[in-house]
Amino acid sequence: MKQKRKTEFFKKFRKHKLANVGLIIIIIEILMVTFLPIILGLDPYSIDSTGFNQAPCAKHILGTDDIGRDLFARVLYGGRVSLIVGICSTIISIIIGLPLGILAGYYRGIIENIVMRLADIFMSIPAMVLILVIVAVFEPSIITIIVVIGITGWTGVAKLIYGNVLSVRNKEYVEAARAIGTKDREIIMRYVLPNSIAPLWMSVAFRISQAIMTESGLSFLGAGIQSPQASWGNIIYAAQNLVVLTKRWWVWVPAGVLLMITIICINLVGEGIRDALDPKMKR
Amino acid sequence: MVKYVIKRLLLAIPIFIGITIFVFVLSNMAPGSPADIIAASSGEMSEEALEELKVSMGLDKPVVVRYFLWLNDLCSGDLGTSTRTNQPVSQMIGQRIGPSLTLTLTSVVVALLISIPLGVIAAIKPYSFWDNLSSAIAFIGTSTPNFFISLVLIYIFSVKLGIFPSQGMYNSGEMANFPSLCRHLVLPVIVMAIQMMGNFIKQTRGSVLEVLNEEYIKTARAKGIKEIRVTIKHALRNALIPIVTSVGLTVPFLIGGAVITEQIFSWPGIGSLMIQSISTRDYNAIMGITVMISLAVILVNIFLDVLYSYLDPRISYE
Amino acid sequence: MRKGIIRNKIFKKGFGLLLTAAVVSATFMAGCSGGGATSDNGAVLSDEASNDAVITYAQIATWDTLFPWSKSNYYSIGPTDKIFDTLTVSNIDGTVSPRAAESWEFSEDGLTVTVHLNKNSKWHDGEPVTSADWLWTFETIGNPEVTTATSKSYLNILRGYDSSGNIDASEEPGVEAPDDYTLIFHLDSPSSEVPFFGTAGMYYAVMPKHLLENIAPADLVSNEFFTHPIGSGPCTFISEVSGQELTMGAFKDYYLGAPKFSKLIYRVVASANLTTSMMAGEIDACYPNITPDEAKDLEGVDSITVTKNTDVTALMFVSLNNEKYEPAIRKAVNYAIDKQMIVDQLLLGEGSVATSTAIPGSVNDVSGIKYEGRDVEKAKELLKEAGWKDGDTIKCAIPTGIRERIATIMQQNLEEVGINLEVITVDAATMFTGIKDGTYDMAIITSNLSPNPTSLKSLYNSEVVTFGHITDPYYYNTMVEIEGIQDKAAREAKLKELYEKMDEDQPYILLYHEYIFNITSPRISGPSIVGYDKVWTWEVK
Repeated sequence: MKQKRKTEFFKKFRKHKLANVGLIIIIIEILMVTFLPIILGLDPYSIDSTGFNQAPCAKHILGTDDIGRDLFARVLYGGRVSLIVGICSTIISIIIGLPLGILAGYYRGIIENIVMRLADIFMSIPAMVLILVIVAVFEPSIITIIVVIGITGWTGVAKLIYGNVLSVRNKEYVEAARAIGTKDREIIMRYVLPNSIAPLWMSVAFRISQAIMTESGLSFLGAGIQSPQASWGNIIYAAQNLVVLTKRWWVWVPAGVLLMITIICINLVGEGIRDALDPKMKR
Repeated sequence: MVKYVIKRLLLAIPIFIGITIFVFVLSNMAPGSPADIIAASSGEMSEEALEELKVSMGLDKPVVVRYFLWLNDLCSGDLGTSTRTNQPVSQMIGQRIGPSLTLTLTSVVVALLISIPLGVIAAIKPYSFWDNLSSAIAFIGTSTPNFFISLVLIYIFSVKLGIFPSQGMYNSGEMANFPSLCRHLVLPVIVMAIQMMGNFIKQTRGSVLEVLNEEYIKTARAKGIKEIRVTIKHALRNALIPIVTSVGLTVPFLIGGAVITEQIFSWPGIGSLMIQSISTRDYNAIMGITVMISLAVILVNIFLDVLYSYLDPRISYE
Repeated sequence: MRKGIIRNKIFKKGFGLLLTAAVVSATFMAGCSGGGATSDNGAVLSDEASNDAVITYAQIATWDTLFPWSKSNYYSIGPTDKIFDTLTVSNIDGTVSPRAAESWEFSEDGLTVTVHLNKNSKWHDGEPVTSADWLWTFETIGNPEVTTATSKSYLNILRGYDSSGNIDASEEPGVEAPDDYTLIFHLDSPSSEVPFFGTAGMYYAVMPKHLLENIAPADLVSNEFFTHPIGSGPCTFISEVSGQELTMGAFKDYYLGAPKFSKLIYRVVASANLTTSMMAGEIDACYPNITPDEAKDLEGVDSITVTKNTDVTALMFVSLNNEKYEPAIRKAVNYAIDKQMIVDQLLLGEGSVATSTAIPGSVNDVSGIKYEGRDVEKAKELLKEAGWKDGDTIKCAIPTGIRERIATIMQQNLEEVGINLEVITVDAATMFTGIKDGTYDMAIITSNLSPNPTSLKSLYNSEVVTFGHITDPYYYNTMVEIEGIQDKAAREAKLKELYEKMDEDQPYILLYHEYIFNITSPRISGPSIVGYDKVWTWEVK
């Protein structure tokens, strides 16, 4: 039954043309940021003392930034960082939110109360404000930023799972399993989890793109990934200066375009997953 | 109804207390006590003087005691004194609530005024030009960093065309006046509205589509009522409730987005105060602002819940 | 159909609510922001200003308070210097001009200064400013209970104050007032006009005794007086949105002439928006001064006048904790940094590598030290001798701006010699606090230099905690000595000795001298550089 569901999912996903295009672009992107720097021997940190703010040329195909670092190398490394931030923080959100959501939904009672009130507390503090405060307290680094974005995202995951578990826990097959004395753990793993996780997959893509956007916003406020590390956010940050914005397009256009393409593609994949899992929502 | 409101308010109390604990603990994890910061900025200070200062600031007491003292002050409206400006935090926040509300409310209203018609048209004529346009707007809104949109808008409208100002709420030295305010509002409102519109359009489109398939609409159509009237009179009305919910869900994001937008446009709101307080490690202000924003989110959510049940009589208060 | 009717009601209610919300918001904001026009402190407002021009001065960071004795950063100096008066004002050529002090004489031995106060000086509430206000000012700054006054550290040159600027009751008083308009200062060591007024004088801002004397000194800084202060400077306080906007009026009774604008507004503008607003003609002057590459990019823009100053330069230097890092390590850092590249590429040549704290080409530029260039091998050798463990970390704090770029370059440079530089971006005030209390070991600091060779004296005072935690008393003592030397040749010789010792031990690691670009809109004439912006002399179009 599981296998069948999977093939059906892929069949439906393949029908969503845009989602497939998005997926392919993202895969290409991931391959590029992972392998290109190694193949080409690019260094995003070394400073070319002969030319700051160089326009694209043979030596630096995307030019150099305001302290003479190769922008092509920085865009690729920045892509690594941005994608890692997006993916890892989403994983953290799931690691925290998924078990809490299941426990709250399955056992209800005190656990439910504690988890849901905790979620209410987190949800009442706007994520951006919370992230800024935490980053101010624990200096910003890649790890802090991943963890912070991840932590602030757990409530969404938990509430989503919780809602679904609630509707699944009283289904006949769960009751039946319970009646024959199956252990809770097994019930959760075999029946509850597989039947309530679908909406999570739908939201994963959106979470990743949100995390990437949040990081770029933080960079803009100076609370994101710190120099010398590159991220798409802090590369675009250079465009906050009007002169750079208008006269040195090569500084921010590549990173900006890549950031937008990535987010759009991830969102498209998300839509594809959603449509494939939930035919009702199909537009 | 009153009973329902009271119940909701009572339920909010533990959440509020939780927030205060959370915020207090977080701020106390920051390196350097406020007394250390004052001591360092005043240059030379002996150990005894520092101890004295700590006593006078109540920093010699255990964390738990300090928390309750702070909570007590908080409940009586005293958010402490800013270590940066030496002014009461509540006064600093008070000065900025007006501008912040103006910006966010206007943005919500503008976003709704554009998204609802677009969403409705998209629902009536799926896959049409308007549908594609609205999904394009929705996509750009949700996938472009707002600071980026801001910079591009400033470049086009402030520098090149010179139509709209790029910073502040009024021109320098000008007295508060409505036309000037409107001109200053244009750019930041566009930025904030674009971000929200994606969500609103999707929501409108979805719920109108759903309603359009319901029996009574079909009946209305069968009776020969014109398409537009059907949509506006019946479908849109019914779609309004999910939109209200969607606005409610947007509130925290709205405030988060306002932090960046206010900062770029030098808007004298809570968001830019937050950034200043964070960059100067003004923890009293940071705590006060965070608690006040959270309180606002809680209250808005309660208000929307009440509004929701008021709008939809099928929802009972119990 | 029934459903439809119910919804009809809902629709009306819903939409009505939306509209109400919009209207309420509009009314609310109109009500909220109406308080700007009147002065609520009773100050005499200029009601017949000669010019109704409004000048906007943008800063990328906020002033802290309007308490004028804690001028911890340039963002506070700008606004408080307009409201409160000081004895003299510095000119861009390094001389000092009268402000509240009309004239002054130094005694033969350079130990006594007699200052004649301007008799026309008035507080914004109309009361005259007398020597009693000044006496109270000096007593209160030196009061040990007034803890947050950074101006204190400039009082130590006076008799009757200890090394950290607190009043020392065992000595005779350092300031006396024989009559209402005369002040006599007694100095610990001989000094002269420029060092005395040019450096310390800026920090002696006079405050009204008649309004403040009944407030306990310890509570002074947080008194609500500073939310609507009354000073005797060229501008009156009108209103403030803390951290955002400060509106001031022209004080028409200012004894040096009323400023020719009706309002001066300090506004905090995001750094992202600074040059933009300038180009859009929304602001007239700004701090910080723009960098050379920005200046180059802004050439030919009609709405901006860019003037290059070579008389006054800014010194960029690195402060490294002297207690923690011995001279060998500081010298290694000095050798490791590629200063020439920074000057050539970052400053586009609009400056020079710093080998001494004297303005290049000025009369004090007597060191004769040549920059030898970057030397990685020498740096490694020095570190090895000092027992540096490869890869050890130095924590460096910097504020945003050009220093972010310098820090990144330094990070690369230092990595090559085995020093791991951890860069933390904070606001300027946090940086200064942090290097003093030891949170950070290193900071990159900039300071406008004046032709007075000892203007940075307080940075080298080993008796108090300085940015670099200077331990060697030589520098401070020598500078004090230089201030008392009248003979030109002897003075130059001593200066040379000082610069050589600085180069030898690197108490601060000097990076470069940078020309200051003064940037204003064509509406105002006269320098807008903080500390030199004499608003009462501005011609306003």
